[in-house]
Amino acid sequence: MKKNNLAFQKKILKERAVALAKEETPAEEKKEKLEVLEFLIGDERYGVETFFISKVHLLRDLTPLPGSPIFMIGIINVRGKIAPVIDLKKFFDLPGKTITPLDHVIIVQANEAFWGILADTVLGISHIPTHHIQTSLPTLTGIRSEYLKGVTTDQLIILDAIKLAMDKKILIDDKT
Amino acid sequence: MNLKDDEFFKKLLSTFKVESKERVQNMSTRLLELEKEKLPEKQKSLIELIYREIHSLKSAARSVDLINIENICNAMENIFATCKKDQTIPTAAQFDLLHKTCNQVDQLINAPGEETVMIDEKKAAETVRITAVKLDTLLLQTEEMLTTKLNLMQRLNDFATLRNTLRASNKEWEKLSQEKLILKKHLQKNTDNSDSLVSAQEKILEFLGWSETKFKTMTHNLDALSNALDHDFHIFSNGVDTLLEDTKKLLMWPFSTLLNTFPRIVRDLSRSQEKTVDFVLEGGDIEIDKRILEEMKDVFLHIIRNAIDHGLEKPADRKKEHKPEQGTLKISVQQPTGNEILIAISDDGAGINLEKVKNSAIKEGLLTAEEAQKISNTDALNFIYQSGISTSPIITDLSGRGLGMSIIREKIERVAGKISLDSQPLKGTTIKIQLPLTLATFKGVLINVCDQLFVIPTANLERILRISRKLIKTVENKEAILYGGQTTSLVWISDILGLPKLSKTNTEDDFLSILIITSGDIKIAFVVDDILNEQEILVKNFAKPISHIRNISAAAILGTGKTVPILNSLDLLQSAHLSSSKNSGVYMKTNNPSNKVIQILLVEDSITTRMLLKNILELKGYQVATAVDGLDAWTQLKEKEFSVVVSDVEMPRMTGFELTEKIRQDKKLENLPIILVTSRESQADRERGVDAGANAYINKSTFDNAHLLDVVQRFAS
Repeated sequence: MKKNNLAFQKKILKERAVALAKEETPAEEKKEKLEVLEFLIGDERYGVETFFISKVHLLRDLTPLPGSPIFMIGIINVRGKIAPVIDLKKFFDLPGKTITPLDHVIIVQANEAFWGILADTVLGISHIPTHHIQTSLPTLTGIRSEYLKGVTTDQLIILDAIKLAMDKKILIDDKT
Repeated sequence: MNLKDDEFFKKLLSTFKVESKERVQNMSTRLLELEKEKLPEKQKSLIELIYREIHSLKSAARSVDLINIENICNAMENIFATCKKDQTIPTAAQFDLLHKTCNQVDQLINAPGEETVMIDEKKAAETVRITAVKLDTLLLQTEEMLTTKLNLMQRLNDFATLRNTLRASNKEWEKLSQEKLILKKHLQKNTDNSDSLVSAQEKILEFLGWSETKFKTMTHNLDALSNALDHDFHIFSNGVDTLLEDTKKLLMWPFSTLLNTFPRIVRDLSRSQEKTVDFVLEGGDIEIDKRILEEMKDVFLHIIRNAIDHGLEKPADRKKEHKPEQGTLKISVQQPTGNEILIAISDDGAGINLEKVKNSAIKEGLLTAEEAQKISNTDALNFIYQSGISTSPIITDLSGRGLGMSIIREKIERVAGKISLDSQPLKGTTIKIQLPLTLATFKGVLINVCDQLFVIPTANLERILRISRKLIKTVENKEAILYGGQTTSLVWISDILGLPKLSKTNTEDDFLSILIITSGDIKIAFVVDDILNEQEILVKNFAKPISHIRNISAAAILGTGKTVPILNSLDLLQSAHLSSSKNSGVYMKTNNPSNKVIQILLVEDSITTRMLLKNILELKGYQVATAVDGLDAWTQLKEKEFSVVVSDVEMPRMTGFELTEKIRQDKKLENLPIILVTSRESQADRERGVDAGANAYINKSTFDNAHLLDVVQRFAS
């Protein structure tokens, strides 16, 4: 009888251990996660918080505006609103030629700004736990670093939509 | 009035509303009590209470400038003052009047500051109150219907294309009727072919016959459908147009909503200038499209400021001219025909000094001295509209920058209005503005430049021409054509937009498509590759992050869904001028940034201010040397050369005024531009600045960087 009791006790203890162990994951889920839409520009993976994304569609009927900055390749009609389309590679002044056909536009709405980001392929939505995002990386040099929320451990570059929207450089203003 | 004042005033007004409502309520209650009260002592105290409420309300009304309420309170006060003196109470008739008055005051309290418009009692029965926001939304939605209208037009066009294709196809088939017969006969003859072949032939022939019938039926149906669509489209189109017009009329406001804010401004302005002005307003009931009225606010303000600043003289001067010491400023609004409104703003001041205008024009290089002698008075007056022209000897916050009238004319022309002025020396000036009742729907002409589509607004487009290449003349190395008897500059739009010239224009095509674009007196001929058609355009303005793009004002969405940039006519004219020289006969002044380094001497005793201003100027590309007071500045001026002096006034050892006087007395430095920047506000100080010889006097409290930089740039080049 005693042996059975011990086994029974062990069983209960084990069940408790399992139950307590399980509770940790809900706690982990409570930790902040960022919902991000991932996309490819060339061979780099970028992401923008879905909160700021209005829609995504194929690039078509692009109208170039003469006299606009190089990173602004033109304007498109998004359900009756005009959105400028920005080529991030040119905006960030990244080297390397664009061989891949950039044919998707990710429409972003942040503060009062409304614009489109040129992308190759849209990869999908993922939830990134905030503790996976490193905000300072010694390898992150150049203009780009100002506009990033951070980079994840698996090389996803997360853009800060608000910083982009507020920035003076993107403000296309050119008084005669 | 700057923004802070406005905000404060709004707060003040809402506080007033609360306070005054309470007071009027008290008044009503006490009046009722007084009517019933029989005991003399109680009557006396009630009268005293009511009197005090009225008095307090009166001063409160004055502090928020509600003169009508103030006046009413004054009248009521008088009644009660008499009651107090004679120890009586108001009569029954007076009680009635007092109650009615309280109601009236209550209504007046509700009126100011809200978007809803005051209507008099008679009209009240037939009208409703509605917030302007709802109407604005309605108008926006109605305008969006234009898109559908344009889309439908496109569908109709596509239909027509489809029908044509079908008809052509039918025609081709019919041409082959001979061949069909031959084929049929041939196939029937060759009966020695296998059965499957015969049946195949038969089936194919059957099919051909069937499809021929089908095609004819389709064409017939398509025709019917197309006609029906056409019919529906016309009804819809008319419906939308009428709806749009009527909705615009909903948004018509009486001029009084704008004019009622002016008496206070006139009072403030005239007080600061030590002048007395009688301000008369007529025709406030006349209604106009709210959007036009909003554009006109700045226009009227500027004209009023000009009238008080330059036009009306000081009481002493007016006395010398045997004019009444009080000047008169009158705004009258009239609607002579159903379709337009005439506004006349007149003053009985000194008139516009033509000599000063001519001198300013000569200084800006727009006129030579000899031309100035021969020019007619009307032509001379028109120079006022050129930016850079001013009759003010000194630039102040109020005037002298020379930008006002040109912007005013632009604003007026933009709403399809006209401006003219008439001035008599010593008698006064009258400015006449003609405005349409409603803002017209935007119309533009679709053009093709270098295989790209653009829209040119109809507003500044005077004419469209096709002329032979052979008629291009060359005047002083620039191309021009003869238009309306005048040599007009010829500019290629592709050049201005930075697009390559389409090969078509370089070859045999003998004729050029040309647009004549004008603004004010400026007229330029622009060459495009093709001119398509004029149509209504729904303007889609750019939102952030696009703030401003050279030459392009907005975009339009065509019926095909394609976006087309709308070109900015005024920018085009400006860009065209930048690419040609002054000798092109186009009178337009531009700010050419000089290549040489501009040295500025900044004189300011406060370390913080000095640092701030130095930073602002250096960011603009100027080289700045600093001095801590007048004496230091003087020493530096003797040692180095400077282009401009920017100086504070209140400084130890030598004030800004003293420094200015010293500079002007020095032979070498007498023409050095001096800009005084100070916190001293009075007219007397401003005059002292003029007397000392300063070129501009900027007030620190209404300071903004852009203004200072503007002024510096004027004198630095």
